[in-house]
Amino acid sequence: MAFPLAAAGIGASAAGGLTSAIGSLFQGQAQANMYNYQAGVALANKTLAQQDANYSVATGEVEAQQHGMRTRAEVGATKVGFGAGNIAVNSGTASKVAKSEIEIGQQNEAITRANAAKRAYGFNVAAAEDTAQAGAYQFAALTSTTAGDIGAASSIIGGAGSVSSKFLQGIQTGIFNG
Amino acid sequence: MPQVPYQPYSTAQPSSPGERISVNTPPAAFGENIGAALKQLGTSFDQVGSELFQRAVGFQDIKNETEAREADAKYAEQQGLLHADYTAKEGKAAVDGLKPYIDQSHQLRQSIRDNLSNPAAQRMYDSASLGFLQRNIFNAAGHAGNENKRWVVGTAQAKADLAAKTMVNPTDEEEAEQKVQDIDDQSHVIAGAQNWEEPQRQDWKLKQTSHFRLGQIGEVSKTDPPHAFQMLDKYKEQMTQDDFDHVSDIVRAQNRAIGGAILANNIFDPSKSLKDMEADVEKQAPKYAHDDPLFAQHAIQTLRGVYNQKHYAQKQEDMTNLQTVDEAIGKGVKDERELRLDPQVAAAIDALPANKRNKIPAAINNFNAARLKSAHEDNFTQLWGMSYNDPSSFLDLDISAQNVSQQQMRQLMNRKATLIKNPQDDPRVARAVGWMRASRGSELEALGIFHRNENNKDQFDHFTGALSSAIDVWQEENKRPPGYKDIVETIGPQVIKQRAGTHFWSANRPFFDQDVPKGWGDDLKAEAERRGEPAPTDEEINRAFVRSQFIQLYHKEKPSGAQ
Repeated sequence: MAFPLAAAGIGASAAGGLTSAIGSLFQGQAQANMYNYQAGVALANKTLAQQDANYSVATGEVEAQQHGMRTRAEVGATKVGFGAGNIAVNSGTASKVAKSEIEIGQQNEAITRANAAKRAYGFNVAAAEDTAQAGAYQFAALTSTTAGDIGAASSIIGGAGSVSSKFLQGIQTGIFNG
Repeated sequence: MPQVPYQPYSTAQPSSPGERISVNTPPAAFGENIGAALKQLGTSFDQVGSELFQRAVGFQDIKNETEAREADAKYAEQQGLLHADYTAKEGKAAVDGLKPYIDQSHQLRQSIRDNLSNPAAQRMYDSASLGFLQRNIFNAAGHAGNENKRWVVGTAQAKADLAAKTMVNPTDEEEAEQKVQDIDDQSHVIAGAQNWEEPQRQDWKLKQTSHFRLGQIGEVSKTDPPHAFQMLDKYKEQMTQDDFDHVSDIVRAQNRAIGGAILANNIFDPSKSLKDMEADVEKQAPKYAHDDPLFAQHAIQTLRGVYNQKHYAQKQEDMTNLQTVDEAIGKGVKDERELRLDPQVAAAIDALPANKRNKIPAAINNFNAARLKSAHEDNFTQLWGMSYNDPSSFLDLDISAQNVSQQQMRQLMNRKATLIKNPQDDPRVARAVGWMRASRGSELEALGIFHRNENNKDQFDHFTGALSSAIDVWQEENKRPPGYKDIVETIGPQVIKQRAGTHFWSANRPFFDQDVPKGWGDDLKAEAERRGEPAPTDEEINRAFVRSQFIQLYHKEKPSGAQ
């Protein structure tokens, strides 16, 4: 009675160790696949961020151009106003006002360009982040595989230990002595 | 001022950038959960395996426990026998046997352990048997200790006893002192073994020494009571009061016996009267008495014994001589002359007083008569019993040759006559008729006497009567009973032989059927009448006649010189 039970127990332990080993390998590979996938996503985001940076610079140029146009419109309106008031527009106060408006307009264009550059910079940083993230994910994929291998080895060793322990206990208690 | 609806610059704003890919990637999407499930499955397998194995171990534990208990019981039984053997040992054997016992116990336990099937059973067996082994060894060690003490004490006691009992010369003071010293030495040994205090040792020593002195003085008193009295005074301090009183009684008793005997023998004089000698004893007794008030009385008793002894010795001698003579007579002698052929018997006769010597011839006659009578009685009783128990053998006997008295011989002859009075009851006749039927049946048939019946009964009775007489006469003449050949060839044919009649016209008739001559039986009748007996019948007369014919016939047939 004892011998069949003991044999079944040892067999189950051996099967358990083997199954756990396979599970560890499978799990490690699955995690590696997941991390590789996430690395791919990160690389895609990196590309998007780089494209956003370029787009942002272009957008800033457009806004600067709009500011230039607005400044010129305001300078024209100011000169029209001074002209309507018969105030000399190229000299005196009128000229200074126009000049001031031109300077303000130029400053606005510069600020707008600066802002666009700032946004582009942010996108470039995001792209760098995504690149780094992709690298991390790729490394995680590698370590997951290794972890799966180690886990499998651990399961095999644990199973072997359990089987041998039971076998020795069986000998000691006389289960295998007939 | 009128306003022209004109916007001199663009107002459209570029849209903000910043689009990103955001994908939810659960591990399950890559099968990680399958791996986890497989691991869990493996863990479950292992747990199930462990559970099954533990159940198997449980079963095995029960089996091992049973095996261990059986082994333990077996060990306890055999260890018990071993222990019983050991504890039966005593003294030095127990001391010497302890180490072998322990070794044997270990070997026994180990041998049973080695036969167990596995280490677990052995471990269970160990837990029970080791304690038992230890208890046994502890107990055995206690036994050995006690026996060692007993051995030491017993040996010392034996040495002390031996010292008291093995004295070569009880009067040798040097030897006695050595014995006392031995006792002192042994007292130290016993005191050491028993953890005695000094007073206990002194007490033991006193008792042993006292016992020794008791034996020594008692022994001396057997041959020299006065010396024993001196020793009593000298060693009183070495004796217990009981022993002293005891040995005093012994010495006095010995003094009465020995001293009294010496005094009585010294005083005894056959020429003096007993009364005078007793007076002399009373007078001299105080010199030997050692203050013993009973001494004089005892010496007088001894004197009377000596006196009686002298008379008794003479009587005893006469009785011995008479016994010698009686034994010689008992062996069978005819007279005193034959008795005197043995010199020892002759000396015994001569030593007897005259009155007893004169009675010897009568004693010889009386003994011989009694012996003869006794022998006759024995023979007669035997023959009388034979006549009832074995009549055939009895009838075959020659009564006249038997060792019986004449009166007994007549009784036996009458008994024989009674037995053969009716021939058909005579076993010899029945046997002879049987033989005749077998060998001469046709002749018997021709004579009509093969069987007895109503028609031939007289004829048949004559035949058997004649046959009986013929056998009787033949037996007397030949001094032996007839055998088969004698019957069928001699006696039988003669009985049935045809004889011519008394007249020429008479027909031939068989021998057994003869007419009795006229007047032939008259003498028989007269003799019977003279004796006062009944007169014989015709049949008896006929048989007597036939018998006389056979006597005549066999006597004639005897060869010359035959007796």
